[in-house]
Amino acid sequence: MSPDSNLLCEETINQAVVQALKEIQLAKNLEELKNVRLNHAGEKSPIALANREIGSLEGTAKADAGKRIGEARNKVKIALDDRTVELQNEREDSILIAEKVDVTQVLANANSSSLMVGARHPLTTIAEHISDVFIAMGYEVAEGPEAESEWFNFDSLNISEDHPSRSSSDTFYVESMDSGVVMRTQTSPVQIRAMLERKPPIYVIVPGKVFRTDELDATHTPVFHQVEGLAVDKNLTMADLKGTLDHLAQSMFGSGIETRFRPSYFPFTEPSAELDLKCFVCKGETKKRKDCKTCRSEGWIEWGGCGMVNPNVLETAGIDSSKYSGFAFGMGLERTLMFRYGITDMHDLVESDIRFTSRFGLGL
Amino acid sequence: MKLPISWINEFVKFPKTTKTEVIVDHLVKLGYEVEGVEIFGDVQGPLVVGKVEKIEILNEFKKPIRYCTVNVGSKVNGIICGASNFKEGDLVVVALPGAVLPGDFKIAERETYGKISQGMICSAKELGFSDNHDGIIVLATGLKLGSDAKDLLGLGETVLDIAVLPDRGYAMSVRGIGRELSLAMNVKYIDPITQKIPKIKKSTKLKSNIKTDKASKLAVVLLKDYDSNSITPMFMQKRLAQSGLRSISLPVDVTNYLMLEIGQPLHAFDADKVSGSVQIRNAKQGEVLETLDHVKRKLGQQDLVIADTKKVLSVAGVMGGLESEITDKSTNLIIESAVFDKGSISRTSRNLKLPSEASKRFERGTDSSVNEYTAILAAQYLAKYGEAKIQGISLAKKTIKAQSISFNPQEVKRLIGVDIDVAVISKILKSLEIKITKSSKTWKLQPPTWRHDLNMPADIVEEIVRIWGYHKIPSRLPNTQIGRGLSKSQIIKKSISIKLAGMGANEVLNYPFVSLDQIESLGITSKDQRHNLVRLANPLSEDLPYLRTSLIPGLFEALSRNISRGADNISLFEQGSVYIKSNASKKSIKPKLLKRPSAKEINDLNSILPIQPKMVSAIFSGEKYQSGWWQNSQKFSWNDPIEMVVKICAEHGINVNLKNVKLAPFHPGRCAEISVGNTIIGYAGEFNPSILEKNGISGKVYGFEINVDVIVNNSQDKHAPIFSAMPVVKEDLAFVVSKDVTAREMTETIGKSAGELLESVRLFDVYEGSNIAEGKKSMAFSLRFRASDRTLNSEEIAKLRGQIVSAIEKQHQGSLRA
Ligand SMILES: [Zn+2]
Repeated sequence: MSPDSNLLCEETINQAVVQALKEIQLAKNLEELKNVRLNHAGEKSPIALANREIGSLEGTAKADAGKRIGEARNKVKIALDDRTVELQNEREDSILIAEKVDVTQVLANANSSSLMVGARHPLTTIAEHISDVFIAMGYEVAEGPEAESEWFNFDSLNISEDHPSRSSSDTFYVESMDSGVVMRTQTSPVQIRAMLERKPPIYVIVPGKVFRTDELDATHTPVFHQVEGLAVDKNLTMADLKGTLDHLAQSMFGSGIETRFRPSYFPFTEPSAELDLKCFVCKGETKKRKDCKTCRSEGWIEWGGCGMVNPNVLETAGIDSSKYSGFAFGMGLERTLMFRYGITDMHDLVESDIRFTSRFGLGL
Repeated sequence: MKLPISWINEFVKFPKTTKTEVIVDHLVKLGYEVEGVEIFGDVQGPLVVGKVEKIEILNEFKKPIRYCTVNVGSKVNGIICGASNFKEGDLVVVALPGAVLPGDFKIAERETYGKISQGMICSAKELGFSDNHDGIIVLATGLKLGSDAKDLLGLGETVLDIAVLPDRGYAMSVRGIGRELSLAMNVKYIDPITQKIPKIKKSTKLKSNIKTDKASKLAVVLLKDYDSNSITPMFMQKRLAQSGLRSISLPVDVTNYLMLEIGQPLHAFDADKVSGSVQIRNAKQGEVLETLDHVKRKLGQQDLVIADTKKVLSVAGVMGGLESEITDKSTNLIIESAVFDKGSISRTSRNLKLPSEASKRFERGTDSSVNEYTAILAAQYLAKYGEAKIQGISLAKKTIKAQSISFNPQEVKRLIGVDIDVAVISKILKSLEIKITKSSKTWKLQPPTWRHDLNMPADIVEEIVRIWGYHKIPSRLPNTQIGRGLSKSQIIKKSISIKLAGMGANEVLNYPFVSLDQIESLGITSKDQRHNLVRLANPLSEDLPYLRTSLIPGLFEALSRNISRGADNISLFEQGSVYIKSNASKKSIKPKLLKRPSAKEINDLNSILPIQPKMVSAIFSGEKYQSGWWQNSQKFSWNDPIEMVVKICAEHGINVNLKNVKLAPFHPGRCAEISVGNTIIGYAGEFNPSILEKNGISGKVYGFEINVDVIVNNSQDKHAPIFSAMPVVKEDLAFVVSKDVTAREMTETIGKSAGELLESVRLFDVYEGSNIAEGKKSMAFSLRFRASDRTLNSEEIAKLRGQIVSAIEKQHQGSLRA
C-alpha cells in the first residue's frame, strides 16, 4: 500500500485541528465531549490515521510530518483537557449543587442510618483495660467460679472460723448455712486456685464478680466487681508491689498521679497496706479540697488493699514460703469507675439503662 | 473511737501547740484512719460558772417556767429557764449575753415571759457536746463563781475519731494510741498503768474462779458503803462526753473511763444481788439472761458468762444482766475485770447482735496483764469520789504460755526490698516493747502482753516497716515472666462481646437473683434443667431467693425498665454465669491448712459447687433501622438472632446445624436449636408472645441464649481460604416444593448434586400464594459457580443445572418454577 499523502498534508491536518477545536467548544456536557474526544483524538480520528502513515515516509519528510502531527495532537489534547475542566466545573455548579443535602439532619436524628452501634458495659471495659495493663507486664488473666466453696473463699485465705465477714449479714450462703458453698465475697479465692494450678513464678490478674449482702444504695450493691492481682516468685518484695500499683495508677489516671501506702490489715496478707491516690481533681490542695466531691475533701482516695501474701496462705497453696514470696492486691471496679468518670450513683451501674451504657461505647 | 487530743497529751508529751494536722498525719502513717476531727462544743464568748440562788416558778404559761436568780461572780443575773432538773444552791453553766453557742445561737439580754432574761442556763445539748442531754448541766461543788466554764467542760477542745484496724485491739485506748503516737512523734510517753495504786488485801468474803478454757484471768473487788448520790467528777464527765459516752452513774462512768484510758473493759455489779463466788463459765444450753436493755437472751454452750453460784450475772465481755445492775439504791459493789478469749467474745456478740464498747475491745484482744491493776484503780476512784470502802480483792488465773517468735532480721529485706540497718530494727523492736534475745543470726522475740497480732516473722516485719515508715517503701517493677496474653476462651468471650455491641446491642450486667415465678413465667417446667434452681440460704429478699439458670429473665426485666423509661428499639445482651443445681448431693469438706490439699480434696471441694456455665444471651425489639428521610424502617425479625449466632459460631470455626424445636420461652414454631455435632450450643428465634405478655412486654421480641463454654470447646483454628481468580457464573433457580421441605434439605441436595464447581448457594426468596399450589411453596436460590483453573462455559453450566433440577425432582418431588 502506498502512503496516502493526502492524509499527511499540512492543510488536511490543519483542517482536522480546526474542526476538532470547534467541536470541542461546541460540546455542551461531558457526555458530548466524550464523543468529540473519540472522533478527534480516538484511534480512528483523522490525526491518528495520519500518524499511521508516517512510517511510509523517509528522511526529512518523515521528520516534518512527525513534528506536524505531534503539534496537532497536542493542540487537540490541550483543548480537550481545558474543556473537560470547564464542563466539570459547570456540572458542579449546576447539577451537584442541586443534589445538596443538609448534613445537620444526621445530628438531628442519631439513628438516621443503618450504622446502629451498641455498647459494652463500662465495668467490662474497665476490667479489660486493667487486664491489658497487666498482660503487657506478662500476667495471665485467671478466673474462678462465682458460687465458691467456703474453704476457697475463707479458710484457705487465713480467714478464721469466727471472722465477722463470714456472718450471714455479710456473705450469701448457698442452699444452707452449712453447705460449705458461698457466693464468693472477693476475687481472692482465685489466688488460691491460681497457685494450685500453676508453679511459681506466678503472675495473674483476676477480674470478676463478687457478692455481699448489702442493699443497693448510692454507694453499695450486693453484686459488684473486683480486680485482683497475685504475683509469686523468688525475691518479690513490697517495693515490687508498690511499683506495680504505681504503674497501674499511672495507666489509669495519667502519669502525674501520686500514690501512698498506708499500713492496713487483711488476713491473707502480711505486711498489709492500703493504696491511696492523691485526689486528681483537687490535688489535695487545702483550698480546693474543701468542696471536692471526688475525694470527699480528704485529699486522698482509698483505692485498694494489698500486701505480701501471708506465708500461711502460700503454704496452704503448696508453695514453700521460705523460698518464695508473693504480693497480692485488689480493688473495686465500681468505685474505680465512679471516681474516674464522675459517676455519682451506683444505681446507674446496675440498672441496665441503655442511655448510660451507650455513652461508653465499645471501650473506655 | 473518739478521743480528745488533750487526754492523749496527758500521757504523750508533745507540745500543746502541736497542730491537729500533724497528729492526724502521724496517725494515718501508723495505719490509723482518722475518720473525723471535731471541735467539742464550739462556744464563743462568756460562759461561766454560776450559782442558782433563788428559783421563782411562773405558772401562767403552758408549762412551768423558772425565773432564776443566778450569781455569776461579779454580779447577780435574772435568767429564764424551761428545764427543772436543778435546785437552789446548784452550780450551773451560764452563757452570758454576748456568748455564741453552736449553730450560731447568739445569747443576748432579752425580754421574755414578762421578765428580763440576762443569759441562759445551759444543757449539754445546747453546748453541742451531747445529743442526748436535754437536762441542765449541774456542776460539782467547790467551783469559783464567775470562773470560765469552757475549760472546765473541755469546750473548744479537738476530738479525733480514730478507726482502729481489727487486729490492733491494743490501740483501742488512750494508752495504746498514745504509745504509738509517742513513737511516731519521738516524744516522751507515760504508760497510764504506772499511776500509783493502793495495795488491796485478799477478800475474805468474795471468792472467784474460772471454769472455762476461754478465759485466763479474773479479778473482782468488793466495795461497801458506796454513796449512791455521788456525782462523777467533772474531769471524768468531760472526757466521757468528749469521747461520745453518756454519764450514767459514778460506778458506770468509772468503768467506762478506765476502758477508754487503759483499754480494759470492766463491769460493776450490785454486790447484794450476788450470792456466793463470782465465776467465768460457759453458759448452759438454753440458759436465759435478761440483759440491761430489757431483752431476754437465750444463751448457748459456746457463750461465756459471768455467774455467781446460783445464776448468770452477765454475758461475759458483751453486756451486763438487768438483775445485778447498779441502781440508785446500790451501796455494796463488785468490780469485775477479766481476760477472755477474743474469738469467743466475737462469736457471742455477733450471735446476739450485741456489739458493745466492751465487746469491740475483747474481740480484738485485750492486754492480759492489766485486769488486776485496772480493777484496783476503779476501786480507788469509787473510794475517792463515792465514799466507798474497799473490802478486798479476789484473783483467779490460768497460766498461758507466752509464745516467742524466732526472727531473722534479713526477713525485712526479703519482704520489703529495703536494707534497714540492724541497729534501727533493734531499736524499733525495743520501742515497741518487744523483748529481744539475740543468739547468732536468728533472734528470739517476745512481744508484750497486749500484742495479740504478733505471731510470726511477717508480723514483725510489718511492725518494723510501719514504724520506719510505709511511705518510704520504694517503687520498682519486678522482672516478670514473659506472658502469652489472653487464653483462647478469653479471646472468644471478648470477641463475642465486641461483635454483639458492634451489631447494635447494649451490654447489661443484671443481678443473678430470681424468683420461682419468674422462671416459671418463662414456661420452664420441672423437666427442664433450667428448673434445677440453686437457692440462697440468706437471700436479700425472700421474693428473689434463687440464682438464675438463664440470663433471659434479667434481660426481660431490663427491657421492661428501658421501655418504661421511654426507650424504644432496644437491643440488649449479657454475658455471664448461670447456676444449675447439681444433682450429686455431696458433703462439704475442709482440707487441713498449711499444706497443699490433695487432688481428691480439690475435686471434692469443686464437686459441691453448682454447675456454672457461661452464657451469652441477647434480645432485640422494635426496629432494626428506623424509617425517616433516609430510608424505610426495618423491623427485627425471627431470623436476626439465629443469624447472629450462626455468625458468632462461624467466626470461631464452627459450622452449626439448625433445627426447628419447641422450647420455652421461644415461639413454638419459631425457635432454632443451634448445635455442633451432637452438642447443643443454644437456642434462638422469636419469643413466645404469651410469655412476653406474662412478663409485661408487648410487641415482638427476638433473642437467643447460647453456651459460651460449648463454643470455646468446639472452636476450630482458622485457615486462610484458597480462592480462585477465574470468573464467576451466576445462576438463579426457583423450585416449587412441598411446604415441609426445609431450606437446609434443599441446600444440601443442591450442594451434593452440583459438586465442587458450586461456590455458594443463597436462598433469596420464599413464596407461597397465588400461582403456587396449595401445600407447596416456591424457594428461589441464587447460585454461584466457579472453577479454579478455567472459565466455565455455557455447556458446563447447563449440565450442572440439569443435575440440580433432576436431584430436586427426585429427592423432594420439586419442580423448576417456570
Ligand atoms: Zn479531691
